[in-house]
Formats: sequence, C-alpha cells, structure tokens
Amino acid sequence: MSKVLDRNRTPLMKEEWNLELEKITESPYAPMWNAKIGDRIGEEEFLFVTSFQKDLLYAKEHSLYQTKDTILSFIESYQNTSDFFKKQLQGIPWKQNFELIPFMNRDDLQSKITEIIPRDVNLNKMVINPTSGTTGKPILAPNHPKAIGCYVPLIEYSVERFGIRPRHSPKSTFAIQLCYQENTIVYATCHSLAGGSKFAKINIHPNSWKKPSDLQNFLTLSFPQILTGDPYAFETAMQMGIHYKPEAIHSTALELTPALRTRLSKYFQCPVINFYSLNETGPIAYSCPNEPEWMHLLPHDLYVEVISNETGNPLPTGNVGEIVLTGGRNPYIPLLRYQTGDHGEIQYGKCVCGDHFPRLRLLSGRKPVYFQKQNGETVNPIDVARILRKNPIIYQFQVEQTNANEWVCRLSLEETILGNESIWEKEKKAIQVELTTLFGEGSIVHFHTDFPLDGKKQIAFLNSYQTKTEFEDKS
Amino acid sequence: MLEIRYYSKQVLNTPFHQVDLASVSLDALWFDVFFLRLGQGKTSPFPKSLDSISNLHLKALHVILANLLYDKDSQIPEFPKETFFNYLTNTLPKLCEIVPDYTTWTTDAERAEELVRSVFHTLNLTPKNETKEYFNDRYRSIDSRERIRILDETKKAQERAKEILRQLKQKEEEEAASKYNRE
Repeated sequence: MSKVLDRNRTPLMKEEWNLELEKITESPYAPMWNAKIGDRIGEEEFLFVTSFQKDLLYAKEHSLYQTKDTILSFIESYQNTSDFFKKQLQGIPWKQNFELIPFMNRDDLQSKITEIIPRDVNLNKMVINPTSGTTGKPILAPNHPKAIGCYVPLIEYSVERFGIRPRHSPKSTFAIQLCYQENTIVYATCHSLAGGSKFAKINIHPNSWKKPSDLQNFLTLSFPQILTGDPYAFETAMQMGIHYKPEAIHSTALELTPALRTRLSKYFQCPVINFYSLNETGPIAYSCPNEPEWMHLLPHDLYVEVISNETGNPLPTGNVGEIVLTGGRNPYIPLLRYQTGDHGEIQYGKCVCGDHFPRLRLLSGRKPVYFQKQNGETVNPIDVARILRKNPIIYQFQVEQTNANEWVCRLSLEETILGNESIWEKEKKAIQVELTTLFGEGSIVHFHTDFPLDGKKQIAFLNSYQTKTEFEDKS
Repeated sequence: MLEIRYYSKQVLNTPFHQVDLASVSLDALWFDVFFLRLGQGKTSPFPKSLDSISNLHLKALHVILANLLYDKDSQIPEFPKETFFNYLTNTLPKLCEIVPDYTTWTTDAERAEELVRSVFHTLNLTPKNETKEYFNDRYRSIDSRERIRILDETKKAQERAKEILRQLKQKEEEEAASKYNRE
C-alpha cells in the first residue's frame, strides 16, 4: 500500500488517518492487498450524508416512515426528469390511485436504464459496486458515492440499536468485512463519515495470506468493532477456528437461518444483526433486537409495499407477498414500485424494541449454496458468478452440481451468439477451462443454452448432489 | 378566406417559367403585390430594401409568397405589413435553411401546405372550414421546424443514452466506492 495520502479515492483523508491506516496496511500480518478503494466522499457528499443522517434520526424518533401519501412528492420530483417515470405515470390519476402505477422490475434496470436515469443528473460521479450475486442475473446498478455514503449512518443506526457505539476515531477500526472466495478484491481504507475510522475487506481464504497464522494476528491487531459479511463467510470463519470477539456480527447478502444465527452468536459471543440490503436500493431493513425473525425498515425515505403475486394488489398485514419499493436516494435509480423479487410479510405498529418503523419478515431469502470439490474442499458460488458475469454474452445463469464431479451450467445468451455456433464454441471452451479449474481436477461441466430470460429472480446455484447425499445418509 | 387546398395549389402552381430569379427585383415584386392589394403605389411597402438578397432559393420563396398574395381571387384579408416584413426577414431565411431547395415547396404538396400555414400562422389567418385548434394542430404536425426540433431532441436523447451506456461500461471497470457490507 502506498504511503502517499490517497485523496483521489478518499478526498477528505487526513494525514493522521493515513498514519493509522498504515499500521494495518503495512503490518507483517496484513493480507496480500490487491486493491485500493476509497469512500469517494468529498465535501458535497459529506454534507448530503450528514443531512440524511439528521433526517433519519428525526424520522426514527418521531416514527415518520414513508407512506403512500408522503412518497408522492418523491415521484413528482422525477416525473419530468426521468423518461421512465413519465411513461409509467402517463395518463393515470396516480396521485389519487397510487396502485395504478405499473411496477418497475429488474428487467427495467437492465433494458431501460438509460430512460430511468434522470436527464438532469451528472454522470461523472457514477460508481458501480459489483453484486455478490445469488440470482444469476447481474444488474449493473449505478450509484453515487453520496448514496453509498448513507450506508454508514444506516449501518451505525442498526448496530446502535444493539447497544454498540461506533467509535469515530482513526485509531479505531469500525468494521472488517469477511469473504471466503478463491478470488476477490482485498483492501483497507478509512471512512470519512466515521471520523476516519478504519475499514478493511479481507478474504479469509488461504489464497489471500502470506502465512496461515496471519489472519488470526491481523484480526487481533485491527481490533474491529464489528465483523460484516455473508453467512457463508461467518460459517467458514467458525470452521477455521478463528478466535475473535467482535461487538457484533453484521450479516447480509444471503439468508441467515435461525440455527446459524444462534451458532454464530454463541461462537463469537456477540449479537448477530441480520441485514436486508440490495445493490440497487442500499440498506432496507435490520433485524429487531427483540424478535430477530422480524426486520425493521431502516431508512426513512423508502416506501414499502407487499404485493400479491396473483392479483398485483397490496396485501394487508399478515399476508406474504413480494416486497415492492418506492423512493430511495440513489440519484441514478429512483425507484417507482420496484419489485425486489424477495417475498415476505409486513407488520405495522409499535415495537417493544423502540423502533416503530414497519417490520418485515422475509420468506425464503437467498439461501447459501456451496459446491464441493472431489477432494472435499468447498467452492464459493460467488467465484462461479465472477467467471460467468464477466462475460458480456451471458445474460442469466444457473449452475447445478449434479454429482461428485459433475456440474450443469444453464445459460441464457445474447441472441447474436446463439445464432453463431463457432463464436459460442470458442466462448464455451474458455468458460469451461475456468470453471473446471475452479471445480478441481477431473471435474466435468455440461452446458445448456436454453435458460429462460424472463426477468424473474431465479436461483442461480443448486447442489442437487449434496441434497441427494444428505437424503441417502438419512435413509 | 378559402379552404387551405386552394392556397396550397397556388403555391404548387407558382409560375416560375415567367420569372428570371437571377434578375428579379424583390422590391419591385412586393411593390406590385401591395399596390394591387392596397392601392399604395408611392412608396416601398417595407422599411428596408430586399434587393440585396442574393440566395436564389430564398428569392424563390419570396416569389412564391408574392404570387400567393397577388392573387385577386384569394380572399386573403388585410394584414399588418410590419408583421409580414418580420416574417420575410426572420422566418423565411430559416425555412430556406431547413429546406434548401425551393423546388421542394412547389413540388411536395405537404411542404406547399406548410408554407401557406406558416405565413397564415404569423398573420393570424384561418382558412375556411377550419377552427383555430385544427389549424394549429395541423400546422404543428407538418412544421419542418417542429420536426427538426423533435429530431434534434431525439438525437440528444440518443446521444445521452449512448453516453450513459459508455459510462456504465467504463465505471464497471473502475473501482467502486468503499462500503461496510455487501449485497
């Protein structure tokens, strides 16, 4: 890591922050850093986020969450600047009949993004954070550093609800994000919105360290207040016998089962906060400290509906349907009845925990699926997604482990490729080499190119071999 | 006023065979038109001479309009000369720029109608059997300037869409902004 103050990536970086940051980046126990990423927060973004935080805290204090009526001004503000909004709202009395507004879905983000992005927005500060990917349909969700900066007060609010007070000091490390992948970016930085407190994303996979013992030493040295990551990474960390007691575990990206939550809490001896967040929306909800199965709506600028799959009508409390969102603060993707593809129920009213925002109970979220090599090692599906997603001819995919050494890769491809056998053969060969290398020696990957591209969230990873083996073991 | 088709036909039938565009004097031509219409023959109808116009296509447009207004049977009522002079000096050169070849106005029926509606719109005249709304609506639908404006807006929208896609591709390859968790 460079000793030079990195003000291009972290514009508000101070010399003393940099000195503290170097203590972990230059540590002999440090992982093999392979990226430099900053928060990109300048003065303008800083002011935006502090104002957002003020509004958030006021709204939480007074239970002012968005409703069908209060979200109308948000819609109105985009009616003339986003061509997509204009088309969706044309000719309907949407102010009187909110439910007449057609839904926006994941397909729209892929095929109509140029219409969705408001005409008056400056494109220069656009950033794209890759999604970890469990649905097999990559969405390039453009975002702005100021909207990503809002993750800080939102995450901090969620941990404070569990009695943790984030230390805003460059001497402190607020969070370390754990991953377990063959290949991923690994970096450390300071977050300007947290008073220069440090943050690192590390890969607990042995590939990422000079010596196996370095991981344990690095965690002890960095002393993070919380650990973030997905259930898969935390489960692996437990299996690896990592000894560290953070103030909280902050779990996201995949479904956290109650059993794993209990095991994690026992192992790491701290509360486990389940977090519901989407790349296209940012944080949505966090688990209630009193009833962890329920998640409180987190931001004050999102309107949540639960919609019936059959009728498309909003469902009353106590019914399970699709979660639909309107609002948000991403200037590039204003959401207008956005179908998340996730299902759950919503409950209104006061909560003993003190947060009286609506509560969501998610139904069958994104369950983690692991693949297994013949030598017993596990393969993180995110590594599979990384290989498939970087290829622009692949629109959607599903990968299934069908046997100890066999995988089926179902793809929906760009139309021009489907009509050109020789190009597809060449591409297929290249993908096959990468996947068989990942799955280990002797692995076989079969390809099908008839996977539907229908805009629906599809399960991207299946392990029918594991299910079969578990069934045989039981019987 | 007569129906619009009468005036369009007048434009289409402009007797160019009787005109030598290179040598015709526009001042003399307009003098004749207003002499016929108003009987004012002592002074030039306009505050400024038009004989300095050398663009033959623009001159031709003057000839077309002079022929239209010279017609004794046209039933075109009186109109303010100042407004008409402004039209000749401001709008006509723009039309000439958008449709450079003057023969288009006299061979394409829609362009002929556009020219008539353009001048009637300025002079606030409504042809027989038309309401103001109908006139305006029809004029907008065939107005070359409106067409160019829409095309221009479409082009701008396409360019922005192209720029967005370019930026998306570029930003995908660039580093992201740091955040505490992942989705």
